[in-house]
Amino acid sequence: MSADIDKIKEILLLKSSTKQLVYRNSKQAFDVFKSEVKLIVESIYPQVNVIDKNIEISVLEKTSFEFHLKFSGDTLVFMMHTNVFDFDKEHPLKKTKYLHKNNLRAFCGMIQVYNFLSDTIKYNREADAGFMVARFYINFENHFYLEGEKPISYLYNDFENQVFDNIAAKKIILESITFALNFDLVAPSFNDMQMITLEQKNQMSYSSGIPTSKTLGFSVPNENIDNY
Amino acid sequence: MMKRIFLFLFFIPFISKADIFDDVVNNFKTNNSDMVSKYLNANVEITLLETESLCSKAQAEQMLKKFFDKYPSKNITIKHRGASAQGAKYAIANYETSSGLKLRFYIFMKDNLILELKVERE
Repeated sequence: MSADIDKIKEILLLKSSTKQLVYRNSKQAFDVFKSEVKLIVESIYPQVNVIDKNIEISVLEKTSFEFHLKFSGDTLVFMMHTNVFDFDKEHPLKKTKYLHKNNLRAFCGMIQVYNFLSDTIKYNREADAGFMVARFYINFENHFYLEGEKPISYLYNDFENQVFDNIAAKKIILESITFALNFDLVAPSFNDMQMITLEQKNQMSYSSGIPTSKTLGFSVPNENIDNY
Repeated sequence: MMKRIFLFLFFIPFISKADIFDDVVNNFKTNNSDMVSKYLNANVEITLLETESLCSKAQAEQMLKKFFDKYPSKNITIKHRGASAQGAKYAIANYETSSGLKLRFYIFMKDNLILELKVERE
């Protein structure tokens, strides 16, 4: 009985202290992302503004765990999860020596980057979908791993040797911006949009527009993402 | 003489690596609010734990003085820093008070003046 309690105590102490360290690294990384975004805006805004005053580039801090980078029609939403995650047992990283040597290295904080249309946020079109551009993991050793859309997914996948710093953050942000800028909204076919009910029309009026997202083009309310 | 010049030249890269944040942080370390205040912008966005405000340099000075009285430092270490070619820069530091409380400092500067200073619990 006492041995069981000792075991629980040991695991609890080890896991809890590791997870606290992960949280701290994760929050610091998130603040680095936010700061690098501010520096990028500082650099780009005057150069763009001199050519076209209508192009808006700005940073908006929503909470301690969420900020938005708006550049014209696109917004990148950076969100930090306050919890700590382990990788799924089928994840390729689980088979690496790095994690085998110390399984506490698998506990990671998570920062997600979503691409939304700026109008989605402006008009609060709740039915619009955002698109995940990148998902960033960081562990207690400050090592990080990045999942994302190509080519972002190729940037950083050496979890064993990558130590997070501001240079990595800047590269991830710039690649995410480039991805969003090259990922344009495509109009769906005429036939797909030909018929709507009055209820759908009213819903569109209420939410200031047709539910829209880059992956779907326009989407008629109640249509499922799997239909596309 | 030549040896001294050589030694000086050898240390130039190390000297130039230190930036303004090292000075700011040293003043935090010694709880010198007067010296920190010389870097404050005319208006500063300041968050000291639960207190958040956009205030004048004079108000920020007072807030910092009270903060240092209440939370004297034991240690402060810069963990991350970055800068743009346009003169904006930031630093994120871990601050430990003499009572063992762990805090996170965030400083954002432009043209060597602090525009934003944030202190949060870790």
